[in-house]
Amino acid sequence: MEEENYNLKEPLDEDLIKLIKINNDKDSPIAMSALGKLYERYSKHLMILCERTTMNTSYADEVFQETWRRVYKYASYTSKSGKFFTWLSKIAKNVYLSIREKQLDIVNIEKFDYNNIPEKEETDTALPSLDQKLVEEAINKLSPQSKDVLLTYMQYAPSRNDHLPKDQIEILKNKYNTTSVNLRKIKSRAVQSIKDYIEQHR
Amino acid sequence: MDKFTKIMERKNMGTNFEATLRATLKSMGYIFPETDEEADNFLRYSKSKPLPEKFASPDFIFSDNDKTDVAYEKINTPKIKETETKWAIAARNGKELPQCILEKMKRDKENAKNK
Repeated sequence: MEEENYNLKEPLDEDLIKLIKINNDKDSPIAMSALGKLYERYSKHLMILCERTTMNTSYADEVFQETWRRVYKYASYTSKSGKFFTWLSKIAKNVYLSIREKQLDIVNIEKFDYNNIPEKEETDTALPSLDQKLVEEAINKLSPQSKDVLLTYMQYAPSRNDHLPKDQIEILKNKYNTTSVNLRKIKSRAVQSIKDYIEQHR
Repeated sequence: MDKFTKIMERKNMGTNFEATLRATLKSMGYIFPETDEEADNFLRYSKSKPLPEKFASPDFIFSDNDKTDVAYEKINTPKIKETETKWAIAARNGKELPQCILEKMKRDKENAKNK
């Protein structure tokens, strides 16, 4: 019998999710136990992600809690769709989108299909990474408005163009009482400011 | 180099920088990682810090908070054995899964492989 794939002290994320899926309609201690293990592994990192992406403590708490509720409710993760934290991050993103959607009562945001997760896709060639310390410093020098606009573009605009989804443009326009043209300018200035900072300090 | 080529080159440089910045921001957790590589980078480089006390355990998932849409009816909760309660408490406190569950997982996996 094959033994090498089993680690009884450290069960795989996928196995823990299976235990939740099988048992979570019965208030089962098994499901709670499995969830507790996943929570122990990933909750601290998820909280950091929520705090950084939302830039708002109450949103961060809400995204964090609702993400874990959905993990427990849907428990549909399999390793075919990639690693567990990637799945967790996608759920958190969807929860955050829903919260932003509620801000302006916007509908038609693409829904996350928890029961039909596409299999992992091959990604593009890895991009070189910038110095994280410098990026962190440069980001923290931006105004809250510039930071919000930049991160929204970076999060939601498909790569290499400036086309934000309409609902996200509406949220930002209303939030900062500005136009979509100005939003693009704010974003461009923020990118340039980060680029300049990195060039000056490396 | 003509003016048009210069403009295009500058534009490409800007675009490349943005793509690199986007990847870096994902690795830093400023935007949600969406690939395993981005998630791995985030897990590797972000320094974890203690959770707020209210999130020390995942009990909030089972609370009667009206925000949740989890199908979870505490009223219909069957009585659970004392030993099982201890499992849940242990898990929520970050302890190991009970041996019998781990053994069952192992058996299930072996059965699946043998099918």
